[in-house]
Amino acid sequence: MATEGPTIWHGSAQRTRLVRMGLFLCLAFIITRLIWIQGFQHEYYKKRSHDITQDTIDLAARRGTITDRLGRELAVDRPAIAVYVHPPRLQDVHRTAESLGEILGIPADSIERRIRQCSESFMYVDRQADATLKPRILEVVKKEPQAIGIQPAVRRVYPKGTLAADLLGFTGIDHNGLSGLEASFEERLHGKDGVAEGERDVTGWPIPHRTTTLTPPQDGASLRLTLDVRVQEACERELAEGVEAVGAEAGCVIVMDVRNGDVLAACDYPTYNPSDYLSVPEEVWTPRFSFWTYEPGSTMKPLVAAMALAEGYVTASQSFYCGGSMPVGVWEVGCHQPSGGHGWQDLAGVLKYSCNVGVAQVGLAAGRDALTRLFERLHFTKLATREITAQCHPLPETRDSAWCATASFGQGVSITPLHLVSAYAALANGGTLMRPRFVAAAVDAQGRTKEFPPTVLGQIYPKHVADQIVSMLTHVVEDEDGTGYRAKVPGCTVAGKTGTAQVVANGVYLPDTYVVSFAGIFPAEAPRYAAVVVLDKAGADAYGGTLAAPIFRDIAQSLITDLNLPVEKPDKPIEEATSAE
Amino acid sequence: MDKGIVRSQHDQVLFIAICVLTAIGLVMVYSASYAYASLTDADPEGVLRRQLTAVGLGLVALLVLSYVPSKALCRLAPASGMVAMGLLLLALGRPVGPEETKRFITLIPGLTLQPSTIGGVALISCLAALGHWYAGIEDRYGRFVAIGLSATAGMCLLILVAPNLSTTLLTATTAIVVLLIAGLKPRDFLCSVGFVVLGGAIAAWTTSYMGKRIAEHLALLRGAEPGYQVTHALIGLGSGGALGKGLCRGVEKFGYLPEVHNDMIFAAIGEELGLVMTLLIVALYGLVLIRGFRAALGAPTLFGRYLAAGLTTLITGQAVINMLVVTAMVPVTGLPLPFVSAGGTSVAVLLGAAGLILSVSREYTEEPREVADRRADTDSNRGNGRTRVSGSGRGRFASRIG
Repeated sequence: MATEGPTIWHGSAQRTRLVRMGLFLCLAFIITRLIWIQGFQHEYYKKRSHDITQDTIDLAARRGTITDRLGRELAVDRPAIAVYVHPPRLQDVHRTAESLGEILGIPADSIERRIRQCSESFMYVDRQADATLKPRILEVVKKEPQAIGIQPAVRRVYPKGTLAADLLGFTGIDHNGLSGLEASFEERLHGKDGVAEGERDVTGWPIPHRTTTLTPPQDGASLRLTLDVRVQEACERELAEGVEAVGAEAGCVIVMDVRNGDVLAACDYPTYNPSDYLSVPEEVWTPRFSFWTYEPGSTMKPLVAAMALAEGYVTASQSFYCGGSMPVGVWEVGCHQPSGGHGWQDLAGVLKYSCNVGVAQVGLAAGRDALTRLFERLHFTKLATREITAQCHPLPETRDSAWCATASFGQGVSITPLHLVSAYAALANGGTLMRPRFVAAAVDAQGRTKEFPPTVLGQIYPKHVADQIVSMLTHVVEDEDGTGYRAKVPGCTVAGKTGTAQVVANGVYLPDTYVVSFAGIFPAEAPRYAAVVVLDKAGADAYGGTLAAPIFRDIAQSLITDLNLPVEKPDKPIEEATSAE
Repeated sequence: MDKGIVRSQHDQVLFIAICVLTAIGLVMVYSASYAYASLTDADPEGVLRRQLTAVGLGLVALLVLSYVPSKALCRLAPASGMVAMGLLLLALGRPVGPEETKRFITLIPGLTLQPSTIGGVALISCLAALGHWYAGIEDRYGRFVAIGLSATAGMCLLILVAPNLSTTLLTATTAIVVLLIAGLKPRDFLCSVGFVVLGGAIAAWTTSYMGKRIAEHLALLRGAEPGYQVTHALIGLGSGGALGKGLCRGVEKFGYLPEVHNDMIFAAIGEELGLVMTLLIVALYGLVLIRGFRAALGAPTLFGRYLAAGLTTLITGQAVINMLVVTAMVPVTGLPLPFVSAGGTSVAVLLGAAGLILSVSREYTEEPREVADRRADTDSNRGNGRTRVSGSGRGRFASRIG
């Protein structure tokens, strides 16, 4: 481009056009390239795009809500996030495990170990992470979007925390019920998961409005329990305080509506948090009130007395002599009475002073067959409920006269607290045994209600006998010298019976280990509620009257005064008053 | 004014082409960024708002600059170069953080400025002014080459350490193109191109991320699967087909394709609006190319010609590189698609640059004559007293260039 001589540079239009031509060629090349990619290779890339983004998407069915009798939520499903990894695609297992562990609250080394041991191409790190953690989880996902992903999920939440945990139970990692009502009503609660088809974003999350539902999910049915949250709260509070105060190992309380067998409260202590069920040993999960069997002790006496009275083996005015002890076969039946026994007393006195010798005479008078029939009719040999985990024991094979004597005061017969409260409810309602009812109704996703009506198991006692026994039991509590006077509630007449039983282990009674209990009915004039308080493995010097009766009193008191439970108008059925749906 | 200057109206076709590109950009930036924001729980309109701000500022710059006469621009050019260098140094002075941080300086909270793009535009203005001064005068050639190349080297070095290799290479290439048009001799041209290629290669291999991208691309030439980002760019483009999946119906923007609202917006456009829209966009850049060079060829001054040609090359060159990246023809660079991609400074500065081209287009002469003739006029105004040469320019150019 040499210039010759004195010259003036005119600016190179030629070179300018050359540059323009070069850029034009580039654009032309791009056009051919675009036609190639978007025109000729369209099908290929369409398929790749489809393979990467299209997927079937599980539509998790909502598990049914569990509410108390007034619709207060006890267990409910909430949206959650499932976090998964593709172990083979993961570049930095250690870092991923650490950051996910920190967010999800899972030990990082356990995640890392699981990822390294995983032989599949897909592994859930957490299937029920809190939905509010999504932004933080996304931060981790963004680092390796091909290897880490999230999906919508649901998780079970128990809004009331530990309340009624033993009754409600909990769900596992698959959202299936594993314990309590969650397990026994799994079929109804679970519902059916649906399937959709659509596009996922890079994190695995379905893109909104880009999915087509193939099978809609069918939500599970909701359960309305007979439980009353306020009653349950009061009972749990009093039970916990009581167990801690006396240093017992465990305890339980059941409150039942005597007219229909509705369980208003069923408490265990110690309890656990169903959202964190793995932190306690498995035994704690089991509902003690329905599964744990024990020899009820003296709380059995009114049940035997009522039978003997009804069937004419004894009369109410008959006198029984207690000299402190009585030989029955090779055994000696005795009363814990320091000097000489209770002396002469009628049936009311036998119950009031909880006289073993006296009630043994009643049992012997009734005989083996009458007692066996009684226990069977009271369903002591059958499961008290099929709604949750329960247990029952057959009567012992050898039922000699010694058994007749001891069974009358509740040794040699093993029952659950639920059996006992049902039997007391039968005494209270005029002799009709009702099946304990935990679930009042199930409402499915379409709004169809399936009621579970109260079940009558049989007429155990004639009404006048049952009423007579209840009135005898009021003296246990209301009289200053009754064994249960500590259960006395101001403003309300209570009928009840104390129980102090020895604990059997490997066929022998343990020394200085007792199950103390109190079974009561209130208000005595027109019974509405039966309640049982049982404390397991209270130490030496433990008596039902001293340890369990005060807990019963506190419970009854808070139910009557604080919660203002209907006690004045017994004619008005609870069902009508409370169930709006 | 000379009678050859037929209108004081700027080039409407060029202006409309740029506006259409910008408008498509706004729509697609929103379509692409709201999806990504929903993925990260960020503000879904955040990117759009920033883009609107930048476009607003850019349009103001465009209109203002399009009214500044090129004579004034010529005088301001060296100053703009100084300012750009100052900004680059300012950005460098910031504490060293992650790779990207040094590229930006914060003007006001929420609005960051990336001085590299400004550096490119300012350098081209300076070189255009230099070429104007040189005007093919033989005894000025030495100084022309020395000043031109050292200014280019200096500016490029500042952009390079930002670090922003792709912008550096684009700026250097465009600068050499301007010098070439302004009369750089072939020997010097080849030397400088060789230097740019060599320097670029060294910089690429020493910068880890760039080296990796180039290695990936070389593997691609041997038939391997392209890198993750390019693979998804191709899937996006290809799956769009002729008519696209429909506006907002794309999938790649949901986190599959990184930088989808930015460097990779062309893939998102291809996915959602198909070949029709990608071809339209190429056509619009073609229109910018035609009208920009038309302004250059019809410019009454050498400065105007060099400026319009250089800036048009910068804009369309950047578009070409971006589209070649998306179609897997060159390694991933990180250059945004001019006027379309999200990215505050890029849009604003390139709109400003378009304003400079429009300013040149105002002085367009219907019947292009010897640019040098009018240059002689301007020189004579300064008392330089040059002979006025007349004749058919094209033939004379051809003979000189030969």
